[in-house]
Amino acid sequence: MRLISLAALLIIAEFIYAQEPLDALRYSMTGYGGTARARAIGGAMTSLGGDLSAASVNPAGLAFYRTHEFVLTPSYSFGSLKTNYLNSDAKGKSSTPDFNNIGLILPKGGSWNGKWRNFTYGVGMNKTVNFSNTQKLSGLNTESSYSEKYLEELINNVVTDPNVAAQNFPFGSSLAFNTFLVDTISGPNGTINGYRSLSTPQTGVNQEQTITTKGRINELFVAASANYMDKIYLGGSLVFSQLRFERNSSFKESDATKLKNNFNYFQTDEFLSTEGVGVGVKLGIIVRPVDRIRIGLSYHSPILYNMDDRYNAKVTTDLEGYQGNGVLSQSSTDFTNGENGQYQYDYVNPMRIMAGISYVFQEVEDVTQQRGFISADVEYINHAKSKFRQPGNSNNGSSYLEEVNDAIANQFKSAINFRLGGELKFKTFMTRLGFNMMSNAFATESLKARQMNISGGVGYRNRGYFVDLTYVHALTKDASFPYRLDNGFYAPGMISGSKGMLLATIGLKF
Amino acid sequence: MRKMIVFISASLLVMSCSTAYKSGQTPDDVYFSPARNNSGYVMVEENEEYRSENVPMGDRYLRMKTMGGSRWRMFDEDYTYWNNPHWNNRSYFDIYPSFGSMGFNRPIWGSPFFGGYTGFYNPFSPVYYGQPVVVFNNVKPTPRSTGPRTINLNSYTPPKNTYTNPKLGIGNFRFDAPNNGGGSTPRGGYNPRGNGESYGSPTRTFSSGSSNSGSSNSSGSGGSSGSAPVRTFPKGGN
Repeated sequence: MRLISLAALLIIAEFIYAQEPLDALRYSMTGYGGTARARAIGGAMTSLGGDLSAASVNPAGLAFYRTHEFVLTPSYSFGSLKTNYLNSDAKGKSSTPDFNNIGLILPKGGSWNGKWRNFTYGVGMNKTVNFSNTQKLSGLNTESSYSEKYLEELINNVVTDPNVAAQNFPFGSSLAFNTFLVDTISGPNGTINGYRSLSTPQTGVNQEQTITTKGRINELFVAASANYMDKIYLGGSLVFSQLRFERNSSFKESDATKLKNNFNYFQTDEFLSTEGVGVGVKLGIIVRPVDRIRIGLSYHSPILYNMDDRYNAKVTTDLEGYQGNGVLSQSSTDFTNGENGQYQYDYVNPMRIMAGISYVFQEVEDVTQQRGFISADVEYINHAKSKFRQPGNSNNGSSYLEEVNDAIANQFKSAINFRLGGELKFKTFMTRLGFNMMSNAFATESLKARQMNISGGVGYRNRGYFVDLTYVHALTKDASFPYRLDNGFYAPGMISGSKGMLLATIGLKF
Repeated sequence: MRKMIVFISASLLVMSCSTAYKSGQTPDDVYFSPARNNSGYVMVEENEEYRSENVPMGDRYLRMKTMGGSRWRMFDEDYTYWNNPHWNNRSYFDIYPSFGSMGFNRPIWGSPFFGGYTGFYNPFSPVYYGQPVVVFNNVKPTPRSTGPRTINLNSYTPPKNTYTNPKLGIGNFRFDAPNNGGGSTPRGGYNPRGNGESYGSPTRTFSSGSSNSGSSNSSGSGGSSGSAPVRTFPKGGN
């Protein structure tokens, strides 16, 4: 295989799996993770306090702590995604053990003039999202081919020289061109009028795709909070987000007629690994205007991530002997001396504002008199404000990222999220229920990206320890496009997900 | 499986740790909890009749220490050991000095494992082992940037002066709602073509203004299977 210098790739690098608006939604549409207790009440922690999860929702809630605490929360997730594509359903399943939360709370007694009752410090980690999923789709398409995106890539870049088509798009069109899936349309005197695909959607092609993803966002926090006269609670946390996302995707398009027509099938395999580290702050306040009532307000700054992408792509074709070839394949790594493509950039996720109110039936020290609580949150986030940026003074790709940002602003909208939950306490034993709704992020009504969680759990606390068990059932709606075309039919895979998560928090008071 | 082993081990570790509330209920900070310098905590029913002999020795010791400060230090079996000046260098060991006077930095919390309720035992501390040791992991080679992953964003962004219907989608693309009965024409997607407009084969051609410089005659291709070579064409046409 002839190797082409990497420098040539810097001129134009077009991709199958591109930096696109849905990348931003993946990283902005996240929850807060937390302890099993907080998850059981739907994560409604903006006004409640007294749980480690408050550090990620409203750090002022840590000021309710007067005892030292250490918690950890392992979890196990399982579920399936059903995708309807061109009126056909396909289902993908996944399951994974996980580590949801760990943390240490250290309160310190009152000071100054005696009105500041206590200061509380916390350090720990909450997992805000787990990307582990397997998504499958399949359907019969008679109006377009995945391969048309290669044609549009070449035409939009006015690639009139076939040598450029063969070399300058090593993560997309060049792979299709060198494996003869895409070929030239001859003009007069042997010149090129355009490009054609050997795929045969006009007589029907079966399209199928499998996407396997894994990864997570871990939010590491250092939090401090203060309690003024048991009336006003203030808190802030410095957040370090650690992001890891990995996706393996395989798309196959095959002739539905089985006729001898120079097209049997082609397949693209793509790999993407994204790692990022982000930093942000969270500030909050909780007030108790009267006993039993708590009102909370919290602000989460945008988190600025520095991201690093590694990627590659491969195309395999069987064109039934076209040009005398058998099964051909070519990988982007053939162009890059075996290395993955790489790109570093910044990503800024949108800020959030949330408010909450809680009613606690007995705010007393005597645990035998504590009866329960209910808590509700409302949260605002504008997904259209996600931004990709070129770091520093580099101009490498910055104009393209501006276009992506415009597309994000067009494609997404603001969302109001709700959380509601409560607990009944019977001395050492507790039961809980919760509900959590992340509203649709797509601006277009025909597309849905939303999630609803229904949760329930039990807890037991005695002799300095506590154990909480929670089941969260997530119902998701989402949309994913195997490909998009400038001038051709393309369809979303409409995703309906049903996912369960079991969490167990084990805690120690000291 | 490895994760499960880690989880179970960590859980057992937590459960094996000592707690200051062995004899009572676990305080609940969500509702309200006593300040930490209280000597005890609310008993559950079985402990409603408080009897000092029912309280474990560890708790009794803690309570004495909490209430009486240094009065009880003579009962420390290893008083002289823990009062060795070596352990009293708070600049190294005590991240939480205010509890020192409350007795929480003694035997239970003051074990070498807990670093005297102070920070964590640091095997690289120069106090113990001289100079710190820094170990560099092997660093992965970083390839040169190949730029952002790009796609044609026209399908995301409506053309200028084009009405965007929130129900139909973006630009002038028509969204065909999914049909229930199937059929040969795919639906449930975006389509720039109108109803009844036929679809031929997948091609794209240059607009008339584009100059076509290349030759369509390929060389060095054909007749093989396996890894595809980069195709080459003679320059400038025929």
